[in-house]
Amino acid sequence: MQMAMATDVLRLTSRERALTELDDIEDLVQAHRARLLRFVTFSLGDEDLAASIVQDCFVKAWSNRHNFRGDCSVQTWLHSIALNLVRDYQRTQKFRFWKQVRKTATDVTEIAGMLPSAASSPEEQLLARERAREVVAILQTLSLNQRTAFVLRFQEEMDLGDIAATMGMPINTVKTHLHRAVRTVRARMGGRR
Amino acid sequence: MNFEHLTDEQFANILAGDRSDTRVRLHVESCAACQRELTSLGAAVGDLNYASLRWAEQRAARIEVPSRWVLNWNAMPGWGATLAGVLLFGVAIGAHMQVNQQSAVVVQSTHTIAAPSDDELAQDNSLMLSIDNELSEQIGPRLPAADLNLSSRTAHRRAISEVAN
Repeated sequence: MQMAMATDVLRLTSRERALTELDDIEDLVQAHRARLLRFVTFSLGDEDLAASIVQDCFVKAWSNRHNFRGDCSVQTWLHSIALNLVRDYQRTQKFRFWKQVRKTATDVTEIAGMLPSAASSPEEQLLARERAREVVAILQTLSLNQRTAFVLRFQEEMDLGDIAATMGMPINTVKTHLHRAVRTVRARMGGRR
Repeated sequence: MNFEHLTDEQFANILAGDRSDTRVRLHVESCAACQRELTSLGAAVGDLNYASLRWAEQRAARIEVPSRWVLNWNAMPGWGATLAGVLLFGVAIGAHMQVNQQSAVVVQSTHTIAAPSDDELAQDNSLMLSIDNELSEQIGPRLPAADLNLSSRTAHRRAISEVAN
């Protein structure tokens, strides 16, 4: 009984803290925009579209901040809103059309070019860039769910519970998507499978 | 120890830093192939995380803080937005109708013919009179209709009698 009450008090406290964080839109944008942009860009492969969706995500989060229950972190909540917007957009005819004809979409493999060039030899830098570029290229071939599970696990470093909350799926379904993604990446990166 | 190479689940867990499974940990420590694979993929994912975050931090500056107007509009409850929409629609329709009425008045006024002035009437009359006079000079004085009929009948009889004689 006391344990349950303590949990409720903790949840309320974290909700209050999160509401304060959500109230200040400027701080919210500053704190989360880079990670959200990265996540949505990996999901859609289009930087301009990703920026627009991230903007919508902040508006939606701020407008619905009173519905935030405090069950998860603000970061997880924002990612779940962004993912819903990505899913909504992918269902539209407009997206299907642009996916077919787009020629100016972000080449996400260019992201690998942002690796530091100070620490290692030129050969090692080149190898590291090639490896990172290969991972990005493989991620683009995965389904949205597999890619999302992979990115949230290894880039955003979320635990499986948070990924399940973000994706709105049971943990076992998340595990299935994640393991399929890992299998594909291992196989394409020269693993034994 | 009889242990196959890492499954995808074990590989994913250990790649994410979960080393709680002792059997897996011991296998990785003793298996060069798994170590190599884990090191290679771990480095690639780590490099990608670093590079992608740097990339996103540079690009994220373009994402501006939404304006208060946008935030408040989106924060408005459903009924409020509907009411505002209906009001806006009403105002737009009203404005449109007003513009239509004004343009109708303008169109109507352009189609109204102004009454001619006395001078214009006098000019028209004199013009008509001069035309009439000119025509009269060319074709001779005008005969009354009865005379015209009589003379034409007389001429016709005269012509018949000449042919008969």
